[in-house]
Amino acid sequence: MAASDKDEFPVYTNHPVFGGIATLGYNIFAAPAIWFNKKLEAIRGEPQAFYHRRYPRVPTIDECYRDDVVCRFEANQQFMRDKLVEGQMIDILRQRFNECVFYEKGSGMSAYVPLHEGAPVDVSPGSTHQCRAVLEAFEKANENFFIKYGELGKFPTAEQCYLKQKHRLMWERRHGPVGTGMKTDEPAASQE
Amino acid sequence: MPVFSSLRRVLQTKTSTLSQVRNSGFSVPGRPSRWMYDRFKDDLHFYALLTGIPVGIAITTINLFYSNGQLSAIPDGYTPKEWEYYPNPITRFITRHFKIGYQELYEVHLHNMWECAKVSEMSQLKNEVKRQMAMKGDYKGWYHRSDMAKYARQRRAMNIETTDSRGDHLIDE
Repeated sequence: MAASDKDEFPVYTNHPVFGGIATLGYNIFAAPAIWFNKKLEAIRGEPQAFYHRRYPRVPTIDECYRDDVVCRFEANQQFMRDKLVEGQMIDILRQRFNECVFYEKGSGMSAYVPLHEGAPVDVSPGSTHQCRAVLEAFEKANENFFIKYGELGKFPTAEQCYLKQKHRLMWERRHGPVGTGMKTDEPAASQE
Repeated sequence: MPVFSSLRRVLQTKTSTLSQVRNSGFSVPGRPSRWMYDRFKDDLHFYALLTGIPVGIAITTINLFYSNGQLSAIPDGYTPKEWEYYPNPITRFITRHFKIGYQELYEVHLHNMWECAKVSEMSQLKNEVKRQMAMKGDYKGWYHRSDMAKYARQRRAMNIETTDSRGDHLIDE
């Protein structure tokens, strides 16, 4: 029973220095609660199912007529939900990168690097470290999130986001890809 | 028992016999009464715990012995009821008997928006017709007042009733 408890709570109980303290803390705080919960589980009876809400997809804002208020409202609500979901996705990718660095950096004072000096692992462009791929995925996703939702304010609407895309496409049509600079206005030179 | 003023004697640390002066025959100097303060504390504790203890026991019992929620996948072709989205049995009870679900509220809100948009569109149409008639001034427009229809209907009903009871003086029946 003690071995299986330690399997359930493996954090640092086999540490050479702090294992005893961890086991003591576990025995004082966690073990009584786990025992109590197991006793109650026998009394409680059958588990009751509960579900998470599912939101069916509705037409997006580009598929709604201008004066169809119901369609626009639903598209807006879906847009707000999608923003939250995609924000959480970015959080997951960031966590993955942090965990990758934490796992790979090793231990001891050599692995301690102040925050402003970057990661303790080599994630510069062109590195072949496995955390570089994770960082690239996170940065690409972050960039796409900013392209879609950035600079729209605290409470954006689906119309604002849609028109932001339209303005970006028009800008790209006139000046080339974003990041390559604006073209100056020279009609006289082209006519000559 | 929430009559904590009776513990005052046990917890008392300051004795009033330290500051004795000549006091016209009484050994303990007079001081203001603590009765109202003690009575207030007693009442506060009593009335708070009068319902607090039963409700606390009920909530504790339900959460310890009857709360066994398990997150599961929604079965195919099944729409869960509103209360089946919550794990706690007390929340499920309240949601089932006293609450309207988010889905229903959302759809009712959509319908209200549609109705208001219809009213607004009709009002915009009327204003546009008025504007057009005012621009040219060449159309003899019969203006529509929706609040007069009620009285017109009442009058018509009255006419029908009187004709049924008294007859029409123009028509010979």
